[in-house]
Amino acid sequence: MVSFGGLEISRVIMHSVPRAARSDPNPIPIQLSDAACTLQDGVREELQVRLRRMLAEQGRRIVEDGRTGSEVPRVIRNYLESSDDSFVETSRRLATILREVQSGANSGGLLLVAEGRFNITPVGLANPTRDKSLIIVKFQQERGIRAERTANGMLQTFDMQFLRDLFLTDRSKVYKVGLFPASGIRDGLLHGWAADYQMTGGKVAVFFLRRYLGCDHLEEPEELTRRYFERSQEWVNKTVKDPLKKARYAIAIFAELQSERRTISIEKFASEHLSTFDQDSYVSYLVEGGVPRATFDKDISLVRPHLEKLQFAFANGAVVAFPVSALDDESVKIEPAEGNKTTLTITGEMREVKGKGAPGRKPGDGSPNQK
Amino acid sequence: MMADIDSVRRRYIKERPKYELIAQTVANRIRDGAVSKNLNCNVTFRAKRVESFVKKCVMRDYADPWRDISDKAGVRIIVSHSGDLDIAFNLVRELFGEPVWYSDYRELDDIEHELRYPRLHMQVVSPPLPDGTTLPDPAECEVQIRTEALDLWARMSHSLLYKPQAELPKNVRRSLYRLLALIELYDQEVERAVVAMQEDPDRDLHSIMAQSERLFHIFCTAPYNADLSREVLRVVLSTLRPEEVPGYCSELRGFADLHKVRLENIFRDYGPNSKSGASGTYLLATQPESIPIFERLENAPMLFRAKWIEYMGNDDLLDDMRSIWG
Repeated sequence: MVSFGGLEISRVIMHSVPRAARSDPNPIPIQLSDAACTLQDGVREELQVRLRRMLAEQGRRIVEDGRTGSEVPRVIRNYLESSDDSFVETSRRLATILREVQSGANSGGLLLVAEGRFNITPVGLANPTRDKSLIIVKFQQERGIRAERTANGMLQTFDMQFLRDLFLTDRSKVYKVGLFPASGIRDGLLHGWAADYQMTGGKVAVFFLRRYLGCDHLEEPEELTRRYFERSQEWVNKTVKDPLKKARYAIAIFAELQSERRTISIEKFASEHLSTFDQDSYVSYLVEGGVPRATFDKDISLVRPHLEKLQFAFANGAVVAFPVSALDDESVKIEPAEGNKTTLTITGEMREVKGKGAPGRKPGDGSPNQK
Repeated sequence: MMADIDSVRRRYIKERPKYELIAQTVANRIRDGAVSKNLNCNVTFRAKRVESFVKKCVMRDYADPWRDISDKAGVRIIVSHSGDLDIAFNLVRELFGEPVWYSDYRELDDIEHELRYPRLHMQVVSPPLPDGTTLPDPAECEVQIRTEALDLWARMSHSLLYKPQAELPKNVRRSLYRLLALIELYDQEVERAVVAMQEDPDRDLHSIMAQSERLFHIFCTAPYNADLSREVLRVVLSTLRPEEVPGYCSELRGFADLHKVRLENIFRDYGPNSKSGASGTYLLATQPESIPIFERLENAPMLFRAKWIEYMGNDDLLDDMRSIWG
């Protein structure tokens, strides 16, 4: 589990990369800056806050993918591993690559490259180690009206001005972020985080993630879904003591996976299905177990066989399995009983009774231990 | 008899380090236990000095000085007021089992007309010593429990009344004992005030506020809006289970220690003395309650947000703090 609260920005540069189709003979030229921005009072702090927030809410772990053919991972690795001060040159190269991979369908805008330090120390440990990092932010400018109080002679009034060059406003949703700390270079591959407020299915836009950054999500949806399922069940069985609540939560997890919804958000699930005092325990248990806090695509291919029936195991050795639909048609009822006990009532046509347990073997019939 | 005392003296010199270790072990356990009981007290320990041990042997006519001198290892618990005496007494029982013996002046009859040292002593069996050190025989420790006021009187009386080099005149001795009446009055008044404070419905809020201010001052100094602090801390308090409330102040202390560097950086960039702070952009980061806010965002973010919206109507201010904490 990583906290983005330790992300600090030291310098920033911006380049203008307008929309351009590769076939366009006269595209609007790219405008590259020659020096880092002068950050006026409060700007650095404001940038930090917005990036921390976005990464905490939407950040997904990504890893370099050589199949994409993008030059960006190599440029970033060179920068992070070099002791030379090549910040401006690196950022100009990153902007140029963005222009090169753009098609007419991709929106233009501004590219902000920031150098920062990132505390990648796991949460819970004190004294962070400062890790040189590169942050890439692609965004579009926004429009808004500014009102400024002024005096017109003796009359107090407001001057109003239409602004076309705003960005990262409070309501701003049109930007994408990549964060790459030096410690993320492992086995020659670049690892980092990407966030995108326009994510569909919890995925960062393919253009930004693959074609430009040359990366892919570190973990596949089927693996994340399996982890979500296993950790959720573990949490219910380890943490929840009240038997009815235990059943209610287990059923909610099944229903979540069987629903038509194409994504999973553990915070949304917690707020919709768990009691207020259980939500944080659930979310932190899953996040510590490697389930992303950010929304991710649901793919139940690895857990489908486990979703057919819900199984209740009792302390007296009784085990009962039934399809979740049996709860909907009330052919199975779960009710509280005296003390910590639960009554499970099954009503239906009984078809078969059979013994259950591991089959026995005759002595000497092939067990390797007996040879 | 002197020959006996000399052999006991030599034995005590040899075994004294073990009694020192017993006293230290007992004191450490009491300190840890006091934290869990939220008992505010000062715990000291000592092994009796050799010269004091010998002097006691000589002055008292003990049949078996080695066994009869029971305070070879001694621990003293000094509590804030008389209302805490029973808490300390029960804590010692919980930690070390039923005492070998105890002496509680409060159980004595027919002493209304007297002024005497209000003795509350317990003789406990030592727990096993660290590093497998073998226990001496007897492996016991005397635990004295007093209020702060009584401790002041007892330290004076120890030198003037209990172990005088020269006997004081009777009227002077009486005047020193007379001071005990003041001590009794003082302790009862303090206890009354403590009980009144405990009945204050906002006492938990006040103690969290005081702790937040203390911690805030480690990172920055600035005036703040106390009404806003109270309003926010009510939300913080609403997220704590009843059993979490008594230990929350020490929880906050631990949180501030663990995240010291991160908090330093946050207050540098967004605190009351920063440019953001001066512009009023991040209002709550300039207030002492920022520390419990960050603690809640770290440990119970969903519950905190739900309660915040319930109390405040919207979470705009909390959103800012969440962005800062990351």
